[in-house]
Amino acid sequence: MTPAMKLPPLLLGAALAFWGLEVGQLALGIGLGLTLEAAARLPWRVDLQPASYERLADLCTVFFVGFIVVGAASTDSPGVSRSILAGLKYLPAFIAPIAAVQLLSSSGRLRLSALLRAMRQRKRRDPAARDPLIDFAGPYLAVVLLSAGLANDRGPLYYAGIVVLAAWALFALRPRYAPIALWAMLFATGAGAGYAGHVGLTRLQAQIESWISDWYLSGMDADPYRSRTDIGSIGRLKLEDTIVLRVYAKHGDAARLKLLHRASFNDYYRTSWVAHDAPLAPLAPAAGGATWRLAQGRPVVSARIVTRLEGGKAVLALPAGTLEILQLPAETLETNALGTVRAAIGGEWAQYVVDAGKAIGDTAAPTPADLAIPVAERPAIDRVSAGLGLAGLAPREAIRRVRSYFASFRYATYRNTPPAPGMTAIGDFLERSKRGHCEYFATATTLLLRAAGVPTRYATGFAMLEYSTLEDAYVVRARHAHAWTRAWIGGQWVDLDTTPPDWFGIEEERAPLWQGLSDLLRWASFRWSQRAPFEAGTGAYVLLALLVGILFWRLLRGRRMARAGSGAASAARSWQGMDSSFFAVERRLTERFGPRGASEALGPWIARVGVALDPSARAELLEALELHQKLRFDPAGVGGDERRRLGVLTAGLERALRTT
Amino acid sequence: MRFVYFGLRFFSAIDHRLRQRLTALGWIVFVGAAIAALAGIDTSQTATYQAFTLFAALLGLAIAGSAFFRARASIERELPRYLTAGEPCPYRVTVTNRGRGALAGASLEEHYRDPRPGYAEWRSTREPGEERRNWFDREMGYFRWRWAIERRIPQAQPAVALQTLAPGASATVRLMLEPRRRGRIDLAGLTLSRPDPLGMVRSLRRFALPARVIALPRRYRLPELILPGARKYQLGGVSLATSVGDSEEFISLRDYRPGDPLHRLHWKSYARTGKPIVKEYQDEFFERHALVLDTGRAAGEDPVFEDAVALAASFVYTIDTQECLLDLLFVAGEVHQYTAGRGQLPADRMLEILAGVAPGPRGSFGALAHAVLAQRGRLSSCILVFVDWDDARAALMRALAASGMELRALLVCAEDAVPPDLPPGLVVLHPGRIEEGLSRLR
Amino acid sequence: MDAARSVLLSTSEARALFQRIAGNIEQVMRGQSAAVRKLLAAFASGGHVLLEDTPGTGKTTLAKALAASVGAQFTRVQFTPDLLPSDVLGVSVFNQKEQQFEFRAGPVFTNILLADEINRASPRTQSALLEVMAEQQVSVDGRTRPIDALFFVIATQNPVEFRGTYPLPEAQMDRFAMRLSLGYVDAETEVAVLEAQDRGHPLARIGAVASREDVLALMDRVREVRLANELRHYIVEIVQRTRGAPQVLLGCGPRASLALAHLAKALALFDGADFVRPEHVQELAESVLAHRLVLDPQAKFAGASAAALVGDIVREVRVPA
Repeated sequence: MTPAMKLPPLLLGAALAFWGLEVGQLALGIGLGLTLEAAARLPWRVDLQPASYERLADLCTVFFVGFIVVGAASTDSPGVSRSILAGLKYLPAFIAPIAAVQLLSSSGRLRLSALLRAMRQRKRRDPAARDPLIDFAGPYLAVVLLSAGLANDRGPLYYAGIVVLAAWALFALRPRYAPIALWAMLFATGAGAGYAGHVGLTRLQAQIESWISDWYLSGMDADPYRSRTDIGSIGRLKLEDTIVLRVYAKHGDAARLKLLHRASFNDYYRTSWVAHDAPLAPLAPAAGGATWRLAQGRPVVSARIVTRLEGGKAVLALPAGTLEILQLPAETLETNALGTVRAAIGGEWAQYVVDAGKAIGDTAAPTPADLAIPVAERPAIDRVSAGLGLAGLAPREAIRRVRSYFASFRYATYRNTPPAPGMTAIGDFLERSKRGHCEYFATATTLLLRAAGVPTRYATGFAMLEYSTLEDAYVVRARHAHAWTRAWIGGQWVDLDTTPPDWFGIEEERAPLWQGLSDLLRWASFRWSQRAPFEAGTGAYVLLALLVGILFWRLLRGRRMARAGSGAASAARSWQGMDSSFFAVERRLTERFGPRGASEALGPWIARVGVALDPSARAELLEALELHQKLRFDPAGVGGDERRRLGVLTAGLERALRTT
Repeated sequence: MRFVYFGLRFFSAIDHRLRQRLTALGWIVFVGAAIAALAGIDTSQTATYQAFTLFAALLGLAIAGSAFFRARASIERELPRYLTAGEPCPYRVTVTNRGRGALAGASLEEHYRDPRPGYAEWRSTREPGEERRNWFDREMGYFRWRWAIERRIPQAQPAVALQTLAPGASATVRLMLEPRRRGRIDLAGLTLSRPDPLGMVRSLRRFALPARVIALPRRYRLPELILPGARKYQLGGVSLATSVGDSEEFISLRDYRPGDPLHRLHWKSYARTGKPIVKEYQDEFFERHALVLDTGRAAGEDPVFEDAVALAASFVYTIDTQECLLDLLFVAGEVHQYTAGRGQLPADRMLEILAGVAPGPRGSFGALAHAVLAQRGRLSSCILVFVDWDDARAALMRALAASGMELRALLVCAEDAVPPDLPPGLVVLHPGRIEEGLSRLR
Repeated sequence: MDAARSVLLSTSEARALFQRIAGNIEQVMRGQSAAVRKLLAAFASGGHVLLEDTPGTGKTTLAKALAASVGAQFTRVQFTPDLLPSDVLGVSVFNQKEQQFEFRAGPVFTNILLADEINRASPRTQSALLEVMAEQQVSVDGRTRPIDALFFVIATQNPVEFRGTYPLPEAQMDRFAMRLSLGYVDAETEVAVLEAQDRGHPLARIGAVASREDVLALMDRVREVRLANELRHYIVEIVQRTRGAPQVLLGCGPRASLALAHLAKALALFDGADFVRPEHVQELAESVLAHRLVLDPQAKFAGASAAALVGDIVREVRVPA
């Protein structure tokens, strides 16, 4: 390996400033950059004992690991892996002291064992173990560039920045033999290829992601963005017993909170419910930024709900008649006409308080879409509707008849079986099998009531039925996902659930035997995630200041100060002929062919580099050399004529060497 | 097992290749690209994938750029005859550019014969201290593999930069050799390397120039050693030394007998008496010392054995063989005996022999003891270097002491394995603290 | 003593004489012009030469070719283990007829002495040459006898590690102005050597191209070559550094500086110059200094060599330009 890899001045400073810009800590970046550049330029050097290096490196490691642990352990932690990524983003700041100490040392190197604990242990066992001196600056620059990338700047700045900084470093370290044009061409090609490569890479990942998401339909969310749900999307959820919601409420309010609504849909097409004409629109928070008013009214129930987030976002589960969402510091909160509320929060869990009134007020009045029955379903619906005599009935009566009609139906857990040939899923449910899970009941009810002239919507969400004494809260599992009907009766929306009430018991039978144990673990991890947020109070800052103080005290103890660069004064004597004009020619030759070694005599050197000159210039050069050496080394000296001749020759050579 | 062997072979080849091809800058870019790829595996989470593509593209170009290196040169090397294990030694190499263009930006380094052990060797040898490794390491043999490679090649040295060489010009540079252990080093030749224009990947041109140097064992400074002992008549032998040393002891004059060399004529007596008189000289009496190196070490070339060899080398080096004879006895298959001094082997040849000594089975000591006892009559003193202790060794020590010769006995053993009931006069030395123990030697 | 010696040779005459002898020797010794150049520089400066190399590289041939090129007296002594000092210097033998001792001059009473395989003789015999090499005189039995003004010893030896050799004592080594090794010639030259030998040994075909007087005149002329004070300092710095080097037990003495300065003058004259240039000093440093160094044996076993050490010193010292 090449031993000398001297980074050009200012590069580290510039890189740190760039890093600061990327991670949003510009002041920190510039400050660190200035510190390191100053360390490299100070007139005095500080050499630490090896043990001090080790202590410093250990301390930096401890600070860094501590930073990650604190980040991962705080309430708003985005998860362990993300905390590590976020920590790595600041790695350059944590290891900057090591770089600074190296820049301050007179050798400009570090022992590898200072950085690696394992190596220190090996050295302790075997003192002869190899422990090379390394230059930390190069790897440090790489760390700075990569850490800047962790800030995930999607714009062109990051790439431009690393190209410029890499070009700076590589240009300074380029092998001198190669023409600069060749280097520039190669680097430009590399930068271009890198650009094409990373654009291609993004496209490739986007493509792969779209393939994967087609194949793996995430069903957790009733995704209002795609405004679509399938028969079976809730059914599949019923196979999981993960706890997705925890509701803290008074027992007396439990009945009101039984159905937690998430999204409603108005348009049934084939087997999918779609939210038609219901775009999500952002809602402005009330003063304070954590309170969101959805409807006006007098609150009668209040509950605190903790929900699990997917990718930092959630469609909120809200009780019927929600008026206001409180204590939710969401970045954005969007609602649509169908009463769906989606919040972008960040993190893995979100909690909020809901105040609800008596009536459902957060949804718009019915539209013609709430009465539409798809053509495919119409024959079956019409037959059943005719059998029940729904046409023309008052809404309440129609509801009573539909309810009693479904009372004879049986609840069945979700089975992924195709309907009989020639029939739709709903037709099969209504006229043949008469058994199914909540989605069938809700869809059929919705469509039958529409046939009766009652505007209805298909509502999805969770049923809150399980109380956990362990957690002292109502827990809602993925298995408790539910669908029902919202009907427009007497000028307001009413929730209507026709699924046989024993559905809950039937589903509960499917709970695994170890659910108790896994609930305990879930509770523990939930409690852990809900602990108080870490706040760096004055105490913490005092502690930090103390640690930094100790670090510097330990570093400065046992330091050795040395002034840099006090070159041994060479006893300069004046010898004859030191004023020879040939030295100017030598300087010109040095510029063209590189310097002469300190121990290389002038004669052999001229013979070596003179090969490249044209014959006439070479002849003149040799003649001038002869005269110069006579002037320098012949105690008899040279005559005036010869001296003049040397002057003429060297002047001519100087000109010739400058022009070519 | 063969699968493991080929795996080791394969990966050490890759490792070797990377180490040779990448410059320090290349390593940073290579490792940086790898880390950037890991951190940027999800391109939507971080932007480091952009760094990855930049680094990868630059590395790719550097590899392509390194394909254009033509160097025609002739290389001469002035190798020293001997090196000492663990001591760096400079030597000179002269490179002459035989190409038509200038040779610029190149550097020079030594390369060695492929040090990877063969399958059979890898299976059968044991690394010192291997019994302390865990089962997995023993079975996989990775550490043994590394040990087997490292013992054959000297410490890696940085490549030495060459000045720019015009066509036909030559330059002399100083390279370093630092053997890790005693023994032979096979040099395969020299490599001219030059980084690509981006400075990340080296192009290599190899020049075969096989040579071999011998690394002598390490030596310790021995305290001033007085080896008293009677000079004894040495039968025959030593014929080359007849006109120096003790033979100058003039005894008497006697009458000329046909066959006497003319230069022994004593002209002054001839002038006085008128008949030829010749000078008569004394017979050869020398001190003769035996240095017995116990090679019966089952544990292989562990520090104990290496220190025993180093001790033997120190004695060879310290005892002035201008004035006496020194026999070196050890077992390698059979008992070997070499004699140094007085026109016999020079000391450095003996050190060379010690450089190649290998440990033998534990039981081979009997033959060695027998050989030593057989010649106790002509020995003035005897130095014993043991690597183990048992009854046979104790018996040899007793027998030699009983024959009245001067005896120095040393036992090298680990600090936690000192045998009980050691006889007085046996100096016990521990690896790592040899010189400390040697101060007790008188 | 001689009329021809009263007039100094001109630079070009001296150079021509050098060229003539060198050309004559190179008819026999092919591909060794660098060694021949140094050998003649030593010859013209009155310094003795030790040729050290493996057998068969032409050490003896080179010595004989030099002797043949100069019309002067030449003797050769083959050094063997039983050779005694008296065999070299001479011995007083009792002459029975005249009933008195008469001195039988040994082979050293000559102009060019080839001491072949000098390290095969015992150190005592080797030491017999000390006086004659340094002072050009022989003291036997209390009488000192001078030797001719042209006296040049050219000794050969095999590298010391061969069996049955006695390394030259340091004092003896110091008497040699330079140690040369010839080394192997390249394949092309070796083929040419074989070819030349087809018609009999070329040594038989060359004749003298210079007389004893020519050589003495040349030696006078060498003394007149000018040496700048700066280069004297340069020489002394190189020599002094050999004393300070850590691997060295015994460095070079002032005799070495003297020899280096003197030989550099001869080499400058060989190149047709009136004054010494730094490159002459550099060219000679290794040959003149290396053999005088006594290395620490520890360093020797660790691969240090005197030649490499001198080479390094020359590379470390800043050369006047």
